[in-house]
Amino acid sequence: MNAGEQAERALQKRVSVALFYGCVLSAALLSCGAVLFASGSGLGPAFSLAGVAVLLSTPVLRALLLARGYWRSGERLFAAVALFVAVFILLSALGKYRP
Amino acid sequence: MAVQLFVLGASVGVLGSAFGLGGGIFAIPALVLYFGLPMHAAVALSLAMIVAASSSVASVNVERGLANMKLGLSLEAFTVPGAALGALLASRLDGGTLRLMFSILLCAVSVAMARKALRPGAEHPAPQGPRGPLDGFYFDPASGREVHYAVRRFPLAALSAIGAGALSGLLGVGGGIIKVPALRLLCGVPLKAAAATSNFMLGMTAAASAAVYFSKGYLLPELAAPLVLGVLAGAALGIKALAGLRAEKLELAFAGLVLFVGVKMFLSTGVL
Repeated sequence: MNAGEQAERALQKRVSVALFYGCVLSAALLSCGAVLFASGSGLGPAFSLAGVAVLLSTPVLRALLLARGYWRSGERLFAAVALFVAVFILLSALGKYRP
Repeated sequence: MAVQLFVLGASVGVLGSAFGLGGGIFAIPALVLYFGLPMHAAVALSLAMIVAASSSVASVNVERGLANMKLGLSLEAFTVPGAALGALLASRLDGGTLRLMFSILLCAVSVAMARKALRPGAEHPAPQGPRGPLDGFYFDPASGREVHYAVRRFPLAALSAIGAGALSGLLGVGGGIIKVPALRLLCGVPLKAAAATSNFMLGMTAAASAAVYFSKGYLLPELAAPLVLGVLAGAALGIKALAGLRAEKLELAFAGLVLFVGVKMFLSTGVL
């Protein structure tokens, strides 16, 4: 395995860990939301929305991690593509994108 | 109702993780036909489920090296704008039109899946000569060796990626039913890597659409919680449980299921 492949493997590991913990945090918030909602607490929807927001942020985080990783390994084209994808998802979330 | 939604989410997670699909083709008909949700609310929930399925399954596939991140990212640059465009168009269409479009899509997917199951394609041979920037490899436990592949005809795959994105935004599906065949047939990526790469892309595609639905208030948090939790549980279960099953038989069963749901949804539009 050459240096480029080793860098790719290390990036794969980082992305994998980030996705895993993003899912775990989202699941924790959603679980709290579901319990609070079932108990009649008004905080239930807020926790659920926070869980969904964390979940929807994992793809952005994925793209940003890739942008950083490819930039550091000198693969500027892929870094730019990753940044483009991340910015585009963020613009959609903020309602700024109008084709 | 929360338990039923959790079971639906878990089922979608299991089924979706087996094929590299987000599972929207199963979730939306169930949410509309069984739970009686409006089409736009069902699409919004489906997109959240797709992101959940993608993130949880991709966390495993990426670590295993199955997902080609460079290829997925490059195609995603074409898919995400298509997804946002599709989501904005969807808010201007009525639910009946979306339902009709989705039923037609389901029937087409059913035929494609049946053909694929009955005539499974051969894996592509290892590339000769210098490797390109998008080429990849992974370790295949079934054969006990590393599989190397070259990525071909990227421009054609990029065009299909735009279509897959628009489909995601319009119908709340992840577009995996377009991405997997495109990666396999156009780019020459082996099926396992194609499915993993498609799954890797699904979350980013669906997130762009989901954000639009989220900002418009279509995403119902009290329903999203049990659904997404179910997807996360089901996807984790599906990755382990379905790894050893034969894909051909599973795909054939899915083809029948998709056809059944598609016909049922088509009849519910009142066209006939």
